[in-house]
Amino acid sequence: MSQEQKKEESKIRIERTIPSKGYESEEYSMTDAIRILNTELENKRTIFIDGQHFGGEIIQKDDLKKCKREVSVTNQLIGG
Amino acid sequence: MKNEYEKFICQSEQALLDKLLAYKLDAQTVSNSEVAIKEICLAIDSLKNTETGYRLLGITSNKKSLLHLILKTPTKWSKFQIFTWEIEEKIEKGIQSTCFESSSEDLESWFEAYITELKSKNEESFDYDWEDLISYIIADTLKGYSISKKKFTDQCEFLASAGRKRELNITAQSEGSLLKDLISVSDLVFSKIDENRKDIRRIIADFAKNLDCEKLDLRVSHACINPDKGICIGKITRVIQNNNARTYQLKVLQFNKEATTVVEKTLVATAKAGVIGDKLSLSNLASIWIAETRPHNYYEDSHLENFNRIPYNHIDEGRYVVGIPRAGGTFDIIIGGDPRIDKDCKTTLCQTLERYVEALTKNLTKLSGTNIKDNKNTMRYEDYESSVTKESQDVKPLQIRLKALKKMVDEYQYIIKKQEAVGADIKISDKVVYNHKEGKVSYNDFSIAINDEMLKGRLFQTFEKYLVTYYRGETTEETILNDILDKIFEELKGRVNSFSSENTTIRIVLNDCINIDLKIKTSKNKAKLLYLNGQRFNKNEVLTVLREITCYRNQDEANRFISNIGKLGLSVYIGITTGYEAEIDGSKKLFRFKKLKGRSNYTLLLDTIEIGLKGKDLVNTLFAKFIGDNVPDFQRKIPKLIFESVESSADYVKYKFLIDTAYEAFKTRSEEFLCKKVSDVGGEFCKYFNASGKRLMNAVSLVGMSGRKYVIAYDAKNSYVFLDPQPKQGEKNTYEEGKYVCMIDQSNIKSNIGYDTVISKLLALKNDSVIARNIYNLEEEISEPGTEEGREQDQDRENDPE
Repeated sequence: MSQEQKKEESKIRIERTIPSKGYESEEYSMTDAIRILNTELENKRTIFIDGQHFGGEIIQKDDLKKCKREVSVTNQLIGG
Repeated sequence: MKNEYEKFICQSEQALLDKLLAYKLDAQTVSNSEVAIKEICLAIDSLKNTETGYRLLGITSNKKSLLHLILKTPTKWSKFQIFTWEIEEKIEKGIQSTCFESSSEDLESWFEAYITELKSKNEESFDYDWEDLISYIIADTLKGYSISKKKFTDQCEFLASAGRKRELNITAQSEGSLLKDLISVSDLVFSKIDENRKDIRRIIADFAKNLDCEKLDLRVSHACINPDKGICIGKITRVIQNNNARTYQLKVLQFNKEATTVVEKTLVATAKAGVIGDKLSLSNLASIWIAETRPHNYYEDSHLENFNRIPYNHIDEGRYVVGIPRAGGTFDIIIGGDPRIDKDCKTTLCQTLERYVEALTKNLTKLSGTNIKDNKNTMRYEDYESSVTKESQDVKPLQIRLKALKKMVDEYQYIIKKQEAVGADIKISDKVVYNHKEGKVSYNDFSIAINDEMLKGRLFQTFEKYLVTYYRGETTEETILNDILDKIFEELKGRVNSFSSENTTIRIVLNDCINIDLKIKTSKNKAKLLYLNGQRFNKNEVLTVLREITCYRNQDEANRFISNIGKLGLSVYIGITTGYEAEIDGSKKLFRFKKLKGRSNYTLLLDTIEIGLKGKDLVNTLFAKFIGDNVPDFQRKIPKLIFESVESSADYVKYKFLIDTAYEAFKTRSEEFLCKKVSDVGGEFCKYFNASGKRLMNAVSLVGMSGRKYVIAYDAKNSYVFLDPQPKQGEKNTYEEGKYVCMIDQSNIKSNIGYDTVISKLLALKNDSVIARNIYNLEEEISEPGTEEGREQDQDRENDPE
């Protein structure tokens, strides 16, 4: 099994605040993680992969393959 | 078992359940005690379907057991009567409940019939009510407790045959000398009131004279004594002890305002030991006791009924009782010392009354109506009193009034010297600009312009105040930036509420790129209908939606947002996105919802438990609190709504206990998230001294990718970012004097539960070089000349042909 296949099967840890219970740090399959994170982007939230800001509009598999620790989802900020 | 019991009356099954389960339990205990809780719920649910009946229910927790006798009666005003006896357990127990006896018999009617018959047979020797003797109906058995009518009747027969009879002791004091005695107390009160009023008027007049303002129109009034009601002076003349109750006779003299006429009244009332009920809530003032009461009916003598509420331990023969009616309808009741302990209790009372009257006269001397008028300005004293009251929490009322008077005169002296800048931009600070002609407020890249002439006029006054306070150094740019939007919306709210013309459109331009038309229409039945860009909203929703849109920088996004809220309704939108944080009974609770398929199906989410709800009432009630209009009485309203919308009592109990736990779990998880992210970005927890708020705040310090240092100071509700903070001398790990950077959380408009905003700021600031372009003023701050990026940008500007 190639390294890429292994990564595809591996889980992605997402940490975020969700309405039902607040802060949650859960592992998701690659497909689920892409779906969740793109929904979060649609909801105007900001994504950090291993603490680095993700500046794109849509998150793709390649973006998550680089993830070593976790993906954090936070609220979007603007200047006042 | 002790003979003393507590009696409660409940009018609904929900109130009864609340009473029986008045424990603070955590989720673990509730799940471990499911059987016990189900037993209680079953006992209540089984009473729902009968017209009359009783349950004898025991509930044990730790080393205490409560034995409840619940009587269901057919009368409307007291559906359930609960008699509760407390029993000490020898060994500690978990939560247990047992229903010892249940029946559909109307026990109260049986008591009434039996006692009436006994009284008719023993007219002279037996005058007890059944409630005096109800403890005798409980019998100990091997299995616990039971109802024993025989035990009760045996006891009654014994008392009747023992020939006990109630008698009231008559004091030796004659009526004539009592009248003289009470009048001497009233003379003192009236003379002190006059004396104090004169003194205070003189103080205020001298102070105003020194202010040297000829336009000052000073008005002093005293609201000490209500003009329609007179002072009452009374004395407890007779007392009888009956088991755990005291019955007393009170002679009261009620004076008119001028103390020229007096009416004598005799009142009789009873108080039971250990039963608080509606008794006066007295607080100690030197050697007397005082309670503030409110009459049931302002226009009648119902304030005198408060004399019937003297608590058991203050009922002693010879005690003086004074009632002083105050403006606003309140009635202060003052109770003197016990003559058996203080032989000179009248002198003591008079001395304390002197001090009380002095403080009361000072507190209730008003300067309402005082003003300064000239050609251009009218300044009202009331505006200054409210602001000075907020600033001076511990200052006495009279001093606050004098301070407010001085502030008003000072402001007037400053304003008449200032030029009005109509049409031109008024720069309050470098970042805050106001243009009266356009009705536009700008700060940094945010702007709001409202084309309504009335509103422009009101905003002009607001900004004039900002200008004055900023000029005087009484406020900071940070404070203005933080509350400027609140002020604008406060004015807009006032305008929307007061609109009277039939069809009006106000154009609001946000951030120079989003146009919102706020249309106000009047329907055929004269109701006001409000529309934002064609989408209809309720009056209480409009301002919240508008506030949310201030975060948008794109017309399409704003239109989409308006349309989405229109479909779901704002209350549900907030309920399912961030939820509501409500304070009930002193502790905070978190309510979050899930919208299910169907018109009125919702789920209340509590940690891992979901409780199905029917109807939108609960969501709407919480929303009313969130937007601050018509805030309901949560302590009663929310449990009632939940009880009505769930299907079984057990679901209601789940809510009752888990709502606290869910909030704590949410807060704990949020703290964990914050700690983890602080560690991930290499930050450090510290303190920050916020000079504008004069307080030390919890904070996190970190260094961004650009190499600049930041501190995020935060409390339970807000967080503030400061750039380049300086270590505070002499205090370890504490910073101060950073440059304030305004960063707005796009979700800030909703309730800020937990530390989401702090975490968002933490990660954004760590990535400052990358993310700064999205946060206008952060980019401005970190690109100052001297830094690598600043130099590059300066180079770009030089190459720009403009």
